[in-house]
Amino acid sequence: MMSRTRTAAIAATAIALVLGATACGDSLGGKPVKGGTLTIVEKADFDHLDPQRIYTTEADSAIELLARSLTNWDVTGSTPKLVGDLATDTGTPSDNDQVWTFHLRHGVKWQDGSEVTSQDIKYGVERVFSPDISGGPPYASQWLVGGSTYTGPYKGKSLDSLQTPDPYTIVFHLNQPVADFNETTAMPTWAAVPKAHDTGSTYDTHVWSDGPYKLQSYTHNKEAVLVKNPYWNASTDPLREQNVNEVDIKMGMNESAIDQLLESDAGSAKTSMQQWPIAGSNLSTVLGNPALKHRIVSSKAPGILYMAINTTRVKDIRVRQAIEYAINKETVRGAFGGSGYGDYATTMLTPGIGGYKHFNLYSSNPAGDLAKAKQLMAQAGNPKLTLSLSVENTPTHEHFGDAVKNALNQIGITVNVTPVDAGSYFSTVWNVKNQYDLYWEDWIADWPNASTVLPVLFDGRQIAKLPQANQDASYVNDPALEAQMDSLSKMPDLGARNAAYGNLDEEIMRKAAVVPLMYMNFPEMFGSKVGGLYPDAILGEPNLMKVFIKS
Amino acid sequence: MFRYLMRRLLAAAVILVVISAITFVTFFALPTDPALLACGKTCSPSRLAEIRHALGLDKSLATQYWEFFKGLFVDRTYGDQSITVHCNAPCLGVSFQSDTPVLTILLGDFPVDLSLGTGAAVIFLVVGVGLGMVAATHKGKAADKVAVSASLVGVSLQIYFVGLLLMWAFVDKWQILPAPSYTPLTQDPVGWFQGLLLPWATLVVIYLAFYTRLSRSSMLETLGEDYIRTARAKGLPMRRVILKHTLRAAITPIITIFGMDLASLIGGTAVITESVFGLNGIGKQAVDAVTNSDLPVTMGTTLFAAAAIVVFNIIVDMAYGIVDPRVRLA
Amino acid sequence: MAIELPPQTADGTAPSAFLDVRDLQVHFPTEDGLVKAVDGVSFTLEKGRTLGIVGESGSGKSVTSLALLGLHKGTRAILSGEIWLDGEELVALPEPAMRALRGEKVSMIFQDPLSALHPFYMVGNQIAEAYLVHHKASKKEAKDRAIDMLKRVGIPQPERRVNDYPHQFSGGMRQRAMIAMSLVCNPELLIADEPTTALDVTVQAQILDLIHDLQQEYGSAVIIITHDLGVVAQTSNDILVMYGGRCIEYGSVQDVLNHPEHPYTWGLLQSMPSLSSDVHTKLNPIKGNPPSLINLPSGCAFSPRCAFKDRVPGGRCMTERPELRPMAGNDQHIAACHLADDEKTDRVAK
Repeated sequence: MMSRTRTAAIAATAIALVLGATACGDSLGGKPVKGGTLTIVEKADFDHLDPQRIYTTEADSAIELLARSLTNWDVTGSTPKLVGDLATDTGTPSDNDQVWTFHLRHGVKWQDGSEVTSQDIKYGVERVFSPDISGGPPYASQWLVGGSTYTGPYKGKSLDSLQTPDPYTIVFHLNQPVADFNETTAMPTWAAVPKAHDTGSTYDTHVWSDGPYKLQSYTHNKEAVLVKNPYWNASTDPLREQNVNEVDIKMGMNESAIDQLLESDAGSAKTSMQQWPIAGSNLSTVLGNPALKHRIVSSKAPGILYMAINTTRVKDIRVRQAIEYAINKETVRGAFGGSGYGDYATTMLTPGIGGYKHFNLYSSNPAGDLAKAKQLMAQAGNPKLTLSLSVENTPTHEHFGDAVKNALNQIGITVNVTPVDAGSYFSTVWNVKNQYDLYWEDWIADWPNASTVLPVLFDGRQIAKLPQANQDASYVNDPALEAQMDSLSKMPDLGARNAAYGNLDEEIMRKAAVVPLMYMNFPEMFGSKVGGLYPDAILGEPNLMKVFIKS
Repeated sequence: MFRYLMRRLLAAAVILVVISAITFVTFFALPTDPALLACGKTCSPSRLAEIRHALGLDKSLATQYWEFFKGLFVDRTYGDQSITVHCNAPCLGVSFQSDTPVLTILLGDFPVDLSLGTGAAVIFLVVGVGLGMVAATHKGKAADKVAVSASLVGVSLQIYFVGLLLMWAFVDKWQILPAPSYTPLTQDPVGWFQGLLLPWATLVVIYLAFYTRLSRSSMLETLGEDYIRTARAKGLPMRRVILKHTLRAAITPIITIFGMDLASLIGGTAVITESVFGLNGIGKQAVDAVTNSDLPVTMGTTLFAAAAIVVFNIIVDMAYGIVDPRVRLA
Repeated sequence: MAIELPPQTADGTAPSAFLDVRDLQVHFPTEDGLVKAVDGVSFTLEKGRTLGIVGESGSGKSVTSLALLGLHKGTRAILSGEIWLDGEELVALPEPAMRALRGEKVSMIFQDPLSALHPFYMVGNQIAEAYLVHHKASKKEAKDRAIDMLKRVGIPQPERRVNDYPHQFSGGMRQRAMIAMSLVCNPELLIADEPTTALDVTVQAQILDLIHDLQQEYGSAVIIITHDLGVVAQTSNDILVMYGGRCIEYGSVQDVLNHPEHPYTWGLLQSMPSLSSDVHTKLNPIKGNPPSLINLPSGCAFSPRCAFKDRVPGGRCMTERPELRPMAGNDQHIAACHLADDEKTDRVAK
């Protein structure tokens, strides 16, 4: 899961925006101009900027200026398109999708002028396995042959399943078929790192660049300054432009102050932008100001906000179905800040994801269908239930808890809302020893493919395998479903695979184990002189690759 | 005097050791596991164990504390995998989050709080005592009533609100000042001043009220003392009676509270102000460290704040001695 | 001695003495009502002479002395009457002019020197400051003057002690320092408010001697305020007895102490430990409490405590306020009591 912070503070930023459309506003701003300094104001430092450790959307978006991945998403079109980045194309699968080969572009240079080679990529990926390089996504260690025993390159060992037959070719040997492996490789985990410039666990502040900008300075929690990388060449990069002279990333300003500053568009705010979404509490003013409409990028993230029902504790499916009908998504969305937060969800796959199929098994009215819910409860024998709901300890979440409590109260279910410390929310609720019956959850796919959603959230085998990090919060544990997931990931035909994922989504929804609430949007403001910001539906961030400052 | 100081410093060191031990134990009583956080959302038990080892969390609590303590006197080296991090004594540990020595982090943040806290404190002390003096000498009259009711308003205001309001007015609306930020004094004194003006103003608005009320009541109490009557009976002008005789005595109770306020400001309590204005000081560092289960930084910031309080306690006692000869010579 | 019947109102006559206080009233408005701390007090005093003002706490003696220093100016106190000092009227005198007199022409020795001296400043500094405020002098000169004064009041090693703080002095030395401070400008009128309270008997005598000697040296007029008739007997020429904010007996020391005319004065004399007697002699204080200054008893303020009120026919003591009148044909000894002279035959003798 890609998150706003390591522990997914997405929900903490209650977002409400009436601007539903993806590419609203004036974020492109006409013809690119050279020069100027872009300022990015962040409420906090990045968790990590080391490509192999990045797992937040802000860092992922920022690193695109510094580190190129094998493949990447071109977001300038109407839908994101996968293209080769360091690689010449999107890779070639063989051996039933278990072997992936990428050919590198020639002439891609590091910031010292040396060439980026397949060895650098191999070394970069090997770093993921070191316990010192923690925090990034788990795919490399899950899928590469021999990954379960390999512990990184620092003790002189290398991983044989990463082969570099020549400086411009890299071959990945996987322990299972992964049909969308080339979508994974768009994540910075697969970026190159030159061994000579690796500083290990302090690489966060010493990222060696092969992108259009390089790190001039980076002080944790304060500021990172990016300047032009003179060895970057547009001819080797199909995605990026090198327009602004400098990018200053300033960290640690209060989010309301950031919103206020950008809203004012005063002085340096004209050339500034934000990466964290507009805070919920400031949205009414933002909405009330039509002038701001042109200074907002609203990205539809492949994210779903939902409530999981613990099926081992709420065993009667009729009760779970009653909950599906009883929940009032209108009041729930109100708690999160209103319509701008996103559209009402009826499926677990979001509209931007490959495999999404539109269907609605429960109430056609987002406000719920109490009559139907009561009827289902009657069929279940009107049990007197008291359920506990876990939420983060933020005001927004407590409002959400109240919305659920009021809705379920009407069908005779008493809900105890339990706020859990936001910093440790997921480590608490993903521990199988947790005591809750209902859970607030959200999920943003790592890349827009159903394989990053359904198996992660509904593969019941992880309950035993990862007892402290079980993401199957509804404890759906159906061998038939699991077998389907396994076979789906091996289906070579994309169209058929996507169709099958859509059906799988529907099958899961039939179990009434989760209540999808909203497909999430992320609105961000920028100053009137910032141009070239494309909404990035992969990350839910304004894409920085073509940013410029208007003269 | 020297022996007294030595004794106080020794006691201070003991207090800090106790606080560090308590922080250590409390940290491990928290439900969050730093290794689990570092491991990410999809974390296998074997990887978790590796990370736990890398962070040194697999050792016993006592061993970990002993190593921390030893690091104060002996250099430590972290990491046995990637390039190692060297931490020179006195070593307060290395951040789990950024692999930077904690002392380096603290020294980097310290100037922010020092500038923020000292600047604001000087203003609210001088202005607060001044207003309190005016109010006390005009007790019951218009000036007193204005000062007292202004205090009430100030006391009920929130830093968050004041900060954003000031920023909206001066930075966003009128554009008189640049967006607050911290520039080192040595690098650009004007920038330092401009960048800190609003944060100071915010803290002053919040603290001023308290100091006005405190000094008003302290002044009133002192004005009732026999030696003030003596001073007037000598034929001294009222100005001199107030500024010399009354102020000197009235300031003593204020010194204690001021010392503690300044210590906690420098120690990082101005976290809301830091956060509103994007000044990254020790307060914000501390909050982030707790959120991220970054034990070494949590320890470092806690100890720093405690040290600030302890040191200022000693300074306050010595200042007392300077102001009040009875304490000095007793 | 030139004692005359004090007039009840300002009559336009010229002040008859160095200090001529006429019908002084000091009233404090409070939330409970008007406190009449001093309610019509008159007396005169010549230079070189000493007046003892005697009374219990709350009788108005200290308030009277503060009025003489003009220290009620700028407070809520309401003053009326006249205070003529060396031909100048002080009640109506503006603060700046009054301030110039304070410490210079009129000065005061306060009771309890531990609290009356500023604890944070060196004794010498406090004395020098009193000098500097009225004299153009360098700090050095002022300090020398302070040392000189300390020496004169009998502080040993004054050059060293001048840099001491009040808490480093003994009680008697603090009182000496206080005296040094009040005399540093050679005041013409010196008011000593309970100068010997809280001092042991030997030191008391030393301090009183000191005040007397200094008075002889400078020729000042001195007012000694005390609740102790023994002190008055030792030091004063005249006595003014105050009760409930009013003067109830006034005359020369000989007349008042030998022929006290007011039952209250009798009580005071009875309660006084004789300087010559054994210090363990049980004191005989007057029964009852001082009157409330807001609601004075109608009639004689002392009547509730007076053992002789029944001897006055018609209960006049409870209904009619006695006026000051000459006693036993001596118009320089006045008292305010209804008792006829022949009723006092069995009065308690000293």
